[in-house]
Amino acid sequence: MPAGVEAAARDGNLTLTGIVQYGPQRTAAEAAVAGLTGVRNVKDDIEIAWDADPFDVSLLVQDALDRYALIPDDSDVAVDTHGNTVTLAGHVRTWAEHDAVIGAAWMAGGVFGVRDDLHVTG
Amino acid sequence: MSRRLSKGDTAMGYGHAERNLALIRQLQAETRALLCTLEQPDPEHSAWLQGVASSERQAVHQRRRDKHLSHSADRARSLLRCGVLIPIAAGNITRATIALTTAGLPSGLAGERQTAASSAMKGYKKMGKAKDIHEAVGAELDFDPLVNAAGITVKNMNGQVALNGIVSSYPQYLEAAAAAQRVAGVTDVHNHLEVVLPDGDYRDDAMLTTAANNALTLNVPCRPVLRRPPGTAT
Repeated sequence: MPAGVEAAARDGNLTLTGIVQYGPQRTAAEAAVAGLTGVRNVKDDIEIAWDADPFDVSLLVQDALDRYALIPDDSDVAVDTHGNTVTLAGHVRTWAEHDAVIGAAWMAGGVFGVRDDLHVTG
Repeated sequence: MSRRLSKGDTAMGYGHAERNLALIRQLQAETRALLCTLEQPDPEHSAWLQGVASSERQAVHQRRRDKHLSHSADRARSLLRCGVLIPIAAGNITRATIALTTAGLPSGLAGERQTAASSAMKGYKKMGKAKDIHEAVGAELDFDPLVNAAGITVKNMNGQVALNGIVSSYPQYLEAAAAAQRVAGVTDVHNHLEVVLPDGDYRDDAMLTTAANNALTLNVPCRPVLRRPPGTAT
């Protein structure tokens, strides 16, 4: 785990603080402590620091979606980045596809947040 | 099983009569195959059935028979529900019913089919899936070995599922939401579960802080959990 991520417990509720570069590092930190005995909840206050160009982020995410097997070629999912928040809009058929799209957006460097405007058609 | 009319299909299209008949034939064949398997107990079962008293054996056999029959009845019903049988002329349905009866089904079941067919004839309406989703989420929570479903109550509001009650650990809290999420028809999960730790699992603040910081130092990021727990900001 990157140095600087710390945990503090209060009555079984863990709060994670620190700075990382990628979203998945943050979720990995959550996963590392989630299974400990005595944990009742995990609050993730880890910050993501990265100086990224929103245009590059959109491009990287869009390319990732094009590579993914779960996402059909005619997918209408649109990637839009403002500041460090990626907004995903469009239709996905399944929750598996939904998760793959959200996962791809988090994977790009410098993404602080992902706004989920996806519609699961089912 | 879900089969629905694909885009562009009309309920009255004449061309579909043949396809529908083919479906009915397939259903007949499946029913016959199911009934065949009923006659000959599968080897796996017969091994332990040796040790069971004959009256019990009969009960088990009956249960198995019921299960198979209800399966085929369900299948027929779902075909009806999906509107597959609707476009067929009434004459064809009668023929199908007769054919199903001759396939060796008890008359009660054939009657049930007929009622289902005639009620479907009255007007095709998409059946509410509300009850199904509620049941399916409950079944999935029971099925998932990582969740103790005993303390959980499920509420379904049009695909929006709410989980209430208690679980005994945080991973169960996460897994319950994930289990509900993967059921077909669920659009959103509201996780109102509360983690109530068993006495033996309670750790005081200092101990838990140390344990968590150790875990953070000792762990290398590995297969990150992508879905964030519902209720936390993304």
